[in-house]
Amino acid sequence: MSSSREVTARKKDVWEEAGSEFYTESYPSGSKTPNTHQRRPSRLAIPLPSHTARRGSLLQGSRHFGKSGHRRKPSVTALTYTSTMAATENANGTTTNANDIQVSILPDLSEGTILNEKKTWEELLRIKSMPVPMAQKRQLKAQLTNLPKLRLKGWSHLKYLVKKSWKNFRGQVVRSYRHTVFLHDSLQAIELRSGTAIVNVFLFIKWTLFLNLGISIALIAFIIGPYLTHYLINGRPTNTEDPATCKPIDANGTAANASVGSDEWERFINCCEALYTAELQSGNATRGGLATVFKNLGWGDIETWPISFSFYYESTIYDNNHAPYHFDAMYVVTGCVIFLSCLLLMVYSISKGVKEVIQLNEGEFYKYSNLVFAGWEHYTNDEPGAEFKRRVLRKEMRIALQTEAKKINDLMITKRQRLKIYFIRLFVNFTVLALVIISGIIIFIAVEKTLNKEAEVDTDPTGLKRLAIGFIPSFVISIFNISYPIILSRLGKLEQYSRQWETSLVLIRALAIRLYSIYAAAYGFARNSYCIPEPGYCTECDARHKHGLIEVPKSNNRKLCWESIFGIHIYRLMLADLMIKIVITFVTDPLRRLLRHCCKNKIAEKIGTLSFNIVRHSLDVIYIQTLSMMSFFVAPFSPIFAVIYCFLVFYIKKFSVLYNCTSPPDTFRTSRTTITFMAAKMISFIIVLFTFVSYIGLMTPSRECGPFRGLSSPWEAVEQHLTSYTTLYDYLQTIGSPGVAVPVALVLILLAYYYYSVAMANRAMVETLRHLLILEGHDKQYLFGKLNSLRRKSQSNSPTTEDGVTLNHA
Amino acid sequence: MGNKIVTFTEEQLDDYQDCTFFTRKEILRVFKKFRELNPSLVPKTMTANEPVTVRVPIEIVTKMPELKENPFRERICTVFSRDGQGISFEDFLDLFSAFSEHAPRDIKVQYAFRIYDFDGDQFLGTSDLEKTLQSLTRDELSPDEVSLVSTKVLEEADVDDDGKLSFGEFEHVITRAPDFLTTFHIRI
Repeated sequence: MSSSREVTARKKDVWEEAGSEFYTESYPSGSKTPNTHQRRPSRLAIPLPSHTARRGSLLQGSRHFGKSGHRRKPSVTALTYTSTMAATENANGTTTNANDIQVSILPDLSEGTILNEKKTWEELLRIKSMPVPMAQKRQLKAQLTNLPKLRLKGWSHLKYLVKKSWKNFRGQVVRSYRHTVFLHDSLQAIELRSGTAIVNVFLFIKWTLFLNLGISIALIAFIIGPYLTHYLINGRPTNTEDPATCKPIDANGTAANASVGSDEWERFINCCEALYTAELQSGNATRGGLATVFKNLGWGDIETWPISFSFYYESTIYDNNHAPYHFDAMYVVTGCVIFLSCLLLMVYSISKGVKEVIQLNEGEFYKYSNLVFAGWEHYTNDEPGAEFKRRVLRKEMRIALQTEAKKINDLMITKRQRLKIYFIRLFVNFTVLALVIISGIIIFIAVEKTLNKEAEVDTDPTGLKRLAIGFIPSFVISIFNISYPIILSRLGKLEQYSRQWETSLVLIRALAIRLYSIYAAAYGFARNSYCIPEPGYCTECDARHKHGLIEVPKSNNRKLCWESIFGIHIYRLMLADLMIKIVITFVTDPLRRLLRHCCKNKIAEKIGTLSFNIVRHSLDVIYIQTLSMMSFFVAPFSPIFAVIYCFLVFYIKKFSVLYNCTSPPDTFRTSRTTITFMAAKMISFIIVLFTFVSYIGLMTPSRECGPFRGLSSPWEAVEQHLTSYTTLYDYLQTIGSPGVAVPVALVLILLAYYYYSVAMANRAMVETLRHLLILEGHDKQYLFGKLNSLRRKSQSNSPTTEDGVTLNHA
Repeated sequence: MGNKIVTFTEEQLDDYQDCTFFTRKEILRVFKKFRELNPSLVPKTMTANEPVTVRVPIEIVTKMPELKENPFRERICTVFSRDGQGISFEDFLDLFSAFSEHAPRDIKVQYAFRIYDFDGDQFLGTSDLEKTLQSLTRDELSPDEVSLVSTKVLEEADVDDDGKLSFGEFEHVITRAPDFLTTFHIRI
């Protein structure tokens, strides 16, 4: 192993040498290098293989830079060494044998060290990763097991045992997770048929499903479960107030000056609740079409079911005189914890995406090598799948070549053409903005009109007509969600941006439309049903807030128990979305495919080719996640419905991929859209967070239903209960105070700056190493040339002394 | 108990488990696939020397469902076969172990280099790249496009400017290819 020491010594040598060469900014060429070589005459005697091996180990160093040193794998370095050694041997005309590699892989036994148990075990594990035939691996294993081993004693023995069992356990868990995992067979079938780019969308659906499952479990454990058990045991407490006596209290606002918590206030709240129950039972059908249908089906009031907010009536649950369960505080706290954990998850997934983004931006995304060497998906079993993947790859290559051509064209663009393109882009942006605003207005009008229509007393006893009317806004939203991405992608093509930017723009615009549609509907709803109530009145709007952000409803009253109405609207939205998806996948798309086969003109063919639009389908998932997280506070069952929705959508989209979509999709091998998807998730999460915070802190809960009756905001429930734990409360107050927050913020900023400077330093190091590589390559070529000329000279001098030229590989 | 056919000895199974990325069950599944290639040639028990001596000709292996649509099937079989003519069970096991999902990137990069090296000179030259492209796209790209793409690949990956890719350059490029690990696997 003396040569390795020589190598490392020379590496240090060359490092300093290359430094000065680098700064002179001249690469060694034929004329200049004689000087440098006179400076270091020993360099002529360097056998070339160690030169290339240095480059191999240099590569190793650069790849592992930044990670801790113990990740270095000696066997791979040895392999690089011997493979380049083999390369130079080949240059001399001999052939290598795989057997030669084995020699360098054996651990260093020549120096007489006896390995201990742990090292032997690690060497054994390393055998798996050796690219040699099985017979040699078995031989190696036999040799290793027959070596005398030192037994470890005491602490190191314990550590070794723990490490070994942990590794085995982890291996088993990973295997069983991968193989018995939910939906595994479907994912495999999709991968066989259409490749990993599409499978990623389905993995995203699966991830969303599990996320919603987690949220549902948290909700069931802390909110739905306890309340349901309490309800099943104790039933709903009866209200002592009589609606008849309550009406005047509400109409005259007699409790306007009552302080919160006093008897008069309590009576007032109970009155509101009595009025509400009276309205529910009145059969006036002012609560929407779904409620009427439920009643007619004999299922009772939909608003007494657990899916509705009004089911959760009591603010404190006492179970058999044990400790009280502060239901209202727990409601808010669970919501906050859910958001916090979602934030952490988001940060984790973003950190994974950031790595890819950095690689892309540092210019290390090798587009063509990625296509050629990592382009073919080896997991293909049948002809249609292989044909599909071939078409995808061909399309990707053509796109990559076209981007190159476009770049060149862009350089030669005339001023006039450039101006024309700018105008087109401006026009497209305006069109998109106009489309978004129009869609918002249409949705808003639809919501308002249907809400008004629904509230009208109708002669139709079945309530079906009302139900149909109620579904109209949801259908309108779904239609916009489906048609807009198509329009947007057509418009995007006009703009003539680069492909990556085009995809990102389409994604951002489609996402904007989706979020805007939800919030337009919510605004329409709020305008119709919500306002801040005047103290002393159940539902009458406070005149002081008349000119706030949201206009006050026309009737100057907010709806009784507006949260449960809102929750039911969200459920309707989800249901409508699902129904439209089913119709499109199972009815419209197969018809479109048939169209292609029957009529042989160009338009029919264009309508008939369906491809799996990855952007649209990923957005669907983000949309449902946004809906679920936005509304779980007023509709506790929405994450559970989201789980069912994800499950059904998975199979619907699977049908679409396997049977409907036959032409290759726009995959993203040549353009990386990770950052756009990350941004999309982040944006929707932030918007949902704002909704949650505004609901908890800013909106007045209903006075007649729900656990927050009588409070001015749900957060007050938490504050009320926190004051009873004085030490905790004081502690939290001090944390929240500026005295603590400002230094923490400063420390975080300093940390961020530190990491930023480390990243800059690493970047500079990568550049230096890259230059070194190029220099080494040029050195090598020069020396090869020198060697050949020496050889020729010696051959022409004395044909018999050829041996003198062969180099020693000591 | 009863007439259970012992396919491998315990020692063999142990060895195979330690030398590949498969568990016991998976090794037996791989054996079943191997036997399906040619049931008359491959015996039911391989307790003696059969894993090395019994060889299935490459033409038959390239027809198995996992490989028949793969454009590199002949290269893959040649790389993993010891004598270039037939594949023994141990070679077969090596093949699927390298392509399994649990195999780390390094071993896949090693074998990928050998597979793409059509002429076997330990370098990926222009001819190797062009043959790779032709196998991938099956003559659907014009010769201009093929040479353009291979020039681009060399531009990206060839650091020392010698017109061909050595293993080090290939490894450097592949570790930065985000799709490599997801595409370079076969599930069995």
